[in-house]
Amino acid sequence: MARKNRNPVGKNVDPEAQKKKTRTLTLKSSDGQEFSISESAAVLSIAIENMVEDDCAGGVIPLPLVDGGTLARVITYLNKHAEDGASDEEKRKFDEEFVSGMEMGVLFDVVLAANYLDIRGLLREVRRRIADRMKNKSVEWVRKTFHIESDFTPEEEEQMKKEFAWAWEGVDSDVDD
Amino acid sequence: MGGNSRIGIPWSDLPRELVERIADCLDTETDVLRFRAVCSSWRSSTTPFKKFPSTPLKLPFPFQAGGTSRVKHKGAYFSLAERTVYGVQLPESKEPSFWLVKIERSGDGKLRILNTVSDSQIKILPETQLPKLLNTLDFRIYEVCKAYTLRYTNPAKPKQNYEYKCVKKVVVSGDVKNDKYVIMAIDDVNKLWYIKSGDEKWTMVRDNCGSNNFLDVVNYKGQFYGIDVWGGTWVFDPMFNSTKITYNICRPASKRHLVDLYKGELFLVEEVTDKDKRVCTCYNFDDGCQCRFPRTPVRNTAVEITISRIDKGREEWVEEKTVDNQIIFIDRYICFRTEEKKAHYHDNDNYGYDDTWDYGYNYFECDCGVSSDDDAGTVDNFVPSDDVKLKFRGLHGHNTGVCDFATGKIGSLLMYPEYADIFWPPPSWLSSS
Repeated sequence: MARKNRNPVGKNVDPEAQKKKTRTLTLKSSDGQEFSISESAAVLSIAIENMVEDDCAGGVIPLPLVDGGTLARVITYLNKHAEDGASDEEKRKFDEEFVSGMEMGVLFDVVLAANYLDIRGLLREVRRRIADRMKNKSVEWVRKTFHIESDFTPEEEEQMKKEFAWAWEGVDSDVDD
Repeated sequence: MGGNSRIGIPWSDLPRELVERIADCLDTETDVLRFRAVCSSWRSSTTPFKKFPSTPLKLPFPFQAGGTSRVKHKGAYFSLAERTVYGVQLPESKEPSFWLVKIERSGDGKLRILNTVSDSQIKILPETQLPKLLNTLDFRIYEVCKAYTLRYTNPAKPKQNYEYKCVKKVVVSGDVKNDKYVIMAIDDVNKLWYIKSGDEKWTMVRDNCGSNNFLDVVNYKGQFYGIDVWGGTWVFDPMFNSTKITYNICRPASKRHLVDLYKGELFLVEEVTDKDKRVCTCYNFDDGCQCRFPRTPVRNTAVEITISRIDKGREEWVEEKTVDNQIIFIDRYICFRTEEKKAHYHDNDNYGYDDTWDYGYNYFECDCGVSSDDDAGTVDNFVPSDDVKLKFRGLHGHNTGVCDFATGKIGSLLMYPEYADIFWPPPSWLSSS
């Protein structure tokens, strides 16, 4: 519930921004857990910002597609990025550490949540991390890790075989040797 | 995987736009190929890797318009060829666990397999011909880096299609979406040229302070950077105006290479050669040197190798003393690095680390331009035994050295079988299947 803010406001600070910092919202996960978060952090999510602007945020914001564990992680991210005085370098380092320890299942949840909540920075970070994990890995490894089964038709398989082939130039050697 | 059970949808059902954007983060053709081979939904959500340039490029020959009026070059042109260094994991679980190979793709899409050290085409013994097709899905391969060369092509003489040795470096940049290219090249006398889509001839970089005398040029984060013989570093804007971003380096070094080494930062690898150490007592230093000091022949072989990074505030290169465990490879066209740990790559998130690789920072250099017969001209005058020569016959005589940055010691590649193994011989499965 948004609380009225009577705190003195710095001279050069936008009063609206200051209000957002002290107003808190409550986010409710799919499994019924509630989390408090400052409005300034919450609105880093474009989806939440829209809900706040449309004023459908009266009280608790339900997020039926995000479970509690994932929401807690996302909130950690939002809080860091809304933190006063956190330098870009600090945030970059935080992002790096934030995603580095995540196992695949967690990355999956977080990427879906970031997509649903429209948190661009987080989405970019997690997407990159998922791609990084796939780099230089065999197709088999990716399937195993991501629990995916091949569902290609024999024709597609044949087509892919062609894509993966290295066709050598004739055995002719280079010029005059 | 908790995520799958909680949300109840598998990775193959990720929203299409997410799949697409994850694939966008993959930057090599090999990775994109593999991504699209995982399942049909991932395949249909993504587009094939866009080759760049999409069609074979014919560029004017030679650099200097009208530079050759000789009839024998009539109709000749340069064709741009792309070289990729791949790491190939060997199926046998022996050392070395991987092999580095250079593959050249010319315009017709056909591949040549090159000896990574000598750049000569690997010829397999007559009785064991290369398989016509090699299914790279069967092997674990990863792209290490890409480079370009110019091939001399003369339609009147189809047999005359070879790497043009009178170019020291070729770099390509471009707008992949619109298939527009910009190419910069250093010719045999260190002049830097450029050509872009639609141009009919090469243009020499404007002589800014009389400094068109370049040792290296790279495409770093979409911009061209060059280093001149005096160690000054230049950055080129899209109109090819240059700005000098570092002061000259007092110490002479015959070879300077710019490398995007790690963490996306530009580094300078310098080779101080015996030629640089030579002290001439007469005043005609180079060709006109009368005193011939020292009397030993100058091989232009590295005697000292340093790595530096730019100190932006002071606008100068500052030598780097502490660096991560990585291997840097330098040759005429290609400078690349690989994490030693990555070289031993395994199918899990934590790379295996092997103590025998604990050499710190290492360096390879190949100077095929001055490759020489047998023992002459090899780094450090090292004379390998006949056994070693035979075992590494593809490497011998190419003046390739290894520098251990922990100790500063430089030696012939053949003194380090554990490194020579990475390049030679080509694995048996390649030549026998």
